Amino acid sequence: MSEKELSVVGKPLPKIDAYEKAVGKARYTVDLNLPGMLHAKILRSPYAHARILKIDTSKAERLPGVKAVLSHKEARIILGDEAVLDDKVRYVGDKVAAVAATSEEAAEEALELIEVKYEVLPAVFDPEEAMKPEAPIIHPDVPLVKGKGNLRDPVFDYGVGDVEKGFKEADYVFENRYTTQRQAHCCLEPDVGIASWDPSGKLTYWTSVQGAFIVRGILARGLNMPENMIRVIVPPVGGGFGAKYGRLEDVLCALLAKKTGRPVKLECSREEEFVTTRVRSYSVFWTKTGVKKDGTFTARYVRAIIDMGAYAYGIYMAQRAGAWLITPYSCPNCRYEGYAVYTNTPSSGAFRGFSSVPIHFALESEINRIAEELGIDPLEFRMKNRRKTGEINPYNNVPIDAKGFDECMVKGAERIGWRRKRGRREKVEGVKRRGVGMAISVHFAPALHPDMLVPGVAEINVNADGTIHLLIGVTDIGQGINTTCAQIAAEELGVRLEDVTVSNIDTDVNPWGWLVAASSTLMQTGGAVRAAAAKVKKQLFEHAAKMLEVPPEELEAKDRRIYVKKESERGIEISDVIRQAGAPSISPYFVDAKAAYTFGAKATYTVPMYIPPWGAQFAEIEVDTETGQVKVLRLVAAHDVGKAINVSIVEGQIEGSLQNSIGYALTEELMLDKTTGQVLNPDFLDYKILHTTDMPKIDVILVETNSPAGVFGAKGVGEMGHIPTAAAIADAVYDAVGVRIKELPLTPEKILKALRER
Amino acid sequence: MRKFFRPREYFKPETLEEALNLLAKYGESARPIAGGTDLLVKKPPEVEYLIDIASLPLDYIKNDGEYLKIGSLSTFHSIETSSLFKEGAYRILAESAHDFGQATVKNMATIGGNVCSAVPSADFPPVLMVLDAKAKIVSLAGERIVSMEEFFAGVRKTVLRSDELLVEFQIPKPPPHTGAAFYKLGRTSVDIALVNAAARITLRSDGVCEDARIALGAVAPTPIRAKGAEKLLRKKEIDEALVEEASQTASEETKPISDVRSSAEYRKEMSKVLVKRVLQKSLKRAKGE
Ligand SMILES: Cc1cc2nc3c(=O)[nH]c(=O)nc-3n(C[C@H](O)[C@H](O)[C@H](O)COP(=O)(O)OP(=O)(O)OC[C@H]3O[C@@H](n4cnc5c(N)ncnc54)[C@H](O)[C@@H]3O)c2cc1C
Repeated sequence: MSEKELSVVGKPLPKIDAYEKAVGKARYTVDLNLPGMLHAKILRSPYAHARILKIDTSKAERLPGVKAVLSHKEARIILGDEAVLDDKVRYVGDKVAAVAATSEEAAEEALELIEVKYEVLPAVFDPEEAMKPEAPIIHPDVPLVKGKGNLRDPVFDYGVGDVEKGFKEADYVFENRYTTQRQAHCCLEPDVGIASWDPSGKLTYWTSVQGAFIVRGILARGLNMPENMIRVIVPPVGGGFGAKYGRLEDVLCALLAKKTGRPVKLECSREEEFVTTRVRSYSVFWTKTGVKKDGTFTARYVRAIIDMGAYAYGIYMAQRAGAWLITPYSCPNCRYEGYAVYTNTPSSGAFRGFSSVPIHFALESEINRIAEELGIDPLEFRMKNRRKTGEINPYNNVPIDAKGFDECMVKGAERIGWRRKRGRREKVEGVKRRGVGMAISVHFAPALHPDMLVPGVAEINVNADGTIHLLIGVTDIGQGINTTCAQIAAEELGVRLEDVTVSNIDTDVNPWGWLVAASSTLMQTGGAVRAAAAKVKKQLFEHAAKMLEVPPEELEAKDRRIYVKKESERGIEISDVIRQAGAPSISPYFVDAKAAYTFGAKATYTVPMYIPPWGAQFAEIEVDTETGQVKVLRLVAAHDVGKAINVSIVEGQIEGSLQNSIGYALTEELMLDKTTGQVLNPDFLDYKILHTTDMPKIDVILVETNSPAGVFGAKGVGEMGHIPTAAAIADAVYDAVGVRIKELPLTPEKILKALRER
Repeated sequence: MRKFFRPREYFKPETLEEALNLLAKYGESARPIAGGTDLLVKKPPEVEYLIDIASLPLDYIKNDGEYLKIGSLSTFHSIETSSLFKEGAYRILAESAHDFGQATVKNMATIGGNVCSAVPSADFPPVLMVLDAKAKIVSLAGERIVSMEEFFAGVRKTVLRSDELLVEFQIPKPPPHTGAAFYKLGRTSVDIALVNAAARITLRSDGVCEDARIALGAVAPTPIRAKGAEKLLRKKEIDEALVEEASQTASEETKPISDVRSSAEYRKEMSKVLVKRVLQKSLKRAKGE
């Protein structure tokens, strides 16, 4: 399609919901209250592993204000390997019972009155321990690898070539072990839902979630109900980051509402938010790499051990992390083994940079180390080994499109002053040292995995005055997808951004949509929006063509007007086209009728091929050699975003990712007591996220390669900024003081210890 | 025992007398609340009556020539921005207030609350200790003056009785050639201290150290003075080697614990680093450099 000059897409327009959020007027699920609504609380396990021998809820039921108590006796509904409420608990914080009462206080007090007799079972908190044959078995009923304790079957084992042969051909073989910590999402709005049943037996559920239709499916299966009897409504969402894809607590909330006949709200406390919402996994990576003297790879092997915690939501990490071994660099022999292991710890699950973030730390750190040991500049090393466009990517056996990869590295290096600064070990203020480091990233995009290749769906309705209602199936969780989709619709239809309204999700109204995940939302749904808008434009052009007496192909639309391409002064307002299509009426009441059903369309879009997003990040840091503290001075993030539909939103996504990932590199870690498995820091006092005052200078470099797979050339950018940061910072620490930290986060104590042992 | 923080009643007295009457009446089950940034986070379940003292006329900073007087309701924001703390030894009051929390907390948190909460890691006690501050404490029974060193009795414990309020800090005018410094080590820019340290050095006109005070927080159940280290410095000409030795001694005087924030060993090691840094800076300032 020949592109006209863009007037809405590519502009840094303010988000359409910015004002209400900035002034604190947006109403999130946590802000909602229904008449007669009850408050629910969950009794959580004090033990990491135990059987519930007896549970007596009678005292709790008699407490004034308490309307219902549920235990496994009524709610042992199993989905996968987890029950809504079970007779066994598998981590400290697991669900034991639930109460609905007239106030949060009464519900909290009722929890204290529930009497539970536990048989405490031996527990295991470390995935490598949990794979030993003598480890206590946490899930006897799921497929496990024989003789390997809690190792979930299957082990994911794939690759290309023959690594053993590759190691023999190598001049050097490097081995290492890296670990990455549990990270919590820290959504400002906690997980929350409000369930309300109407007399017809229909359930309405308001919730803060990244996938309304996924939650509807969970509710339908958990409650054994048809999907048309469940309506899920998603008000503005206060952050998701991968945490919010539906939980069995949703079913629990609905059950309490059903039992009491009143609406019930179930809201996580901050502590529950930290402990129970499926963190980024603790992971262990054993790496082995064969290289020639000149830095050519001969073989790359990784064994990834992913701690799933108590339930198997993290199994996908183990399955997919090998993509990031195989995709970015050329190497004839690669092998990935992914182990998913149960432990008696909080479950792990999706988190921004899903499956990519931990393994990139290991692989990129190892590349920096190998380059150093071979005496090759890490940037040169990458330029030499990185995949080239057209090469077959053995991960999916499809030619790769690596446009943009080089440019990210080259531009980023130039901006940070790589050649000037690398290897200088610059001294400042006596005890401080400065260094620079780098890492690259690659990540999901739709079409990498067939099971993630779900179409985007969009529906456009046109009002008689030329304004637009856009309905999509995916949720705006703050990332700005509603605005971006509105821009796409406005661009395609030739109207202004403010002419387009995008409604938040109501599953009774909106078309179906998948999760907001895997950097897929814009590419899938945005594509559908453009396709739906193109259909509507065609309808408008057909009418306008008659009025202007030219063939429709000769028309163009812009700024609310349809005009003849070659004679732009010959045109007509879109609202006039619509009005003309309406039936003449003698009453001012009925003019809209025909116009409103003449225009409108629904469309789907399936991304045709996997074109990865590429990125490179460079960090400049300062180490205080006496305290071990690392201060990030500057981060340069160069990302191939395909095309920035909204420059402010794209930069915002990358900046937000950086904030989150500097925390991952330096301070964020959900810590467990090694003997009880209890989370030690479930609050912001001791789970340290970065504040605005901790942020370094940030340079975002947008590389635009116009991807043929994405709408207007766009690629997904929601996660990329998170992926390379930790490895780049660790590399910069090495550049500054000569020690490589292989266990995230890079705490001052680890750095001091390494300095001492150097 | 009560398990939840569910106060029965909330009072907002307008006068000191009213407040003291309420405290006397409800005793152990009552608690004064100032900014609430500690109390409402801690939520002690035993509290049944909240006496909000925010309306009392205790938000002031004045200098009567002999003493600097800071009302206990002064917020960290007012201390950070006060024109009285722009130079001299008092400057560390503003500097430590600057390092404290973030803007929203600074506007709420009071210096009285910081001291009375008696959290080992609190930032102001070491500063007040090196400045030789005294606390003015009142109750219906009268008034008493307690030095900062005698004020703390343990983790979250002070010498205050349940019917008393801390109303004012009194800081004597520092002698000439005095320099002071404060250093806080946190995990991020908004954190409670892993270790904090303050020092004040007064030099004679010939450059010999007349007096030295060193205090540390988060390294013992209460904020402590490093008296052994101070002694090493007094009446000596301070050079780099002596600073090193005093820092080492100060570190040996600490009794830190390990917790989620830091190991005891790290706290001990950092005590040395921090004391060295505050001594170097105090010395520079005392010399007018
Ligand atoms: C986000 C955040 C950041 C923080 N950062 C820091 C920091 O950087 N450094 C630091 O040291 N602390 C920090 N704190 C802790 C806390 O804010 C401070 O200790 C603060 O000074 C407490 O003052 P307040 O007025 O809020 O006390 P409140 O919470 O009102 O009171 C604390 C205690 O003191 C008692 N009390 C208060 N005033 C009096 C009085 N006049 N007489 C007798 N008893 C009294 C109360 O009864 C209560 O027991 C932080 C807290 C938060 C939430």
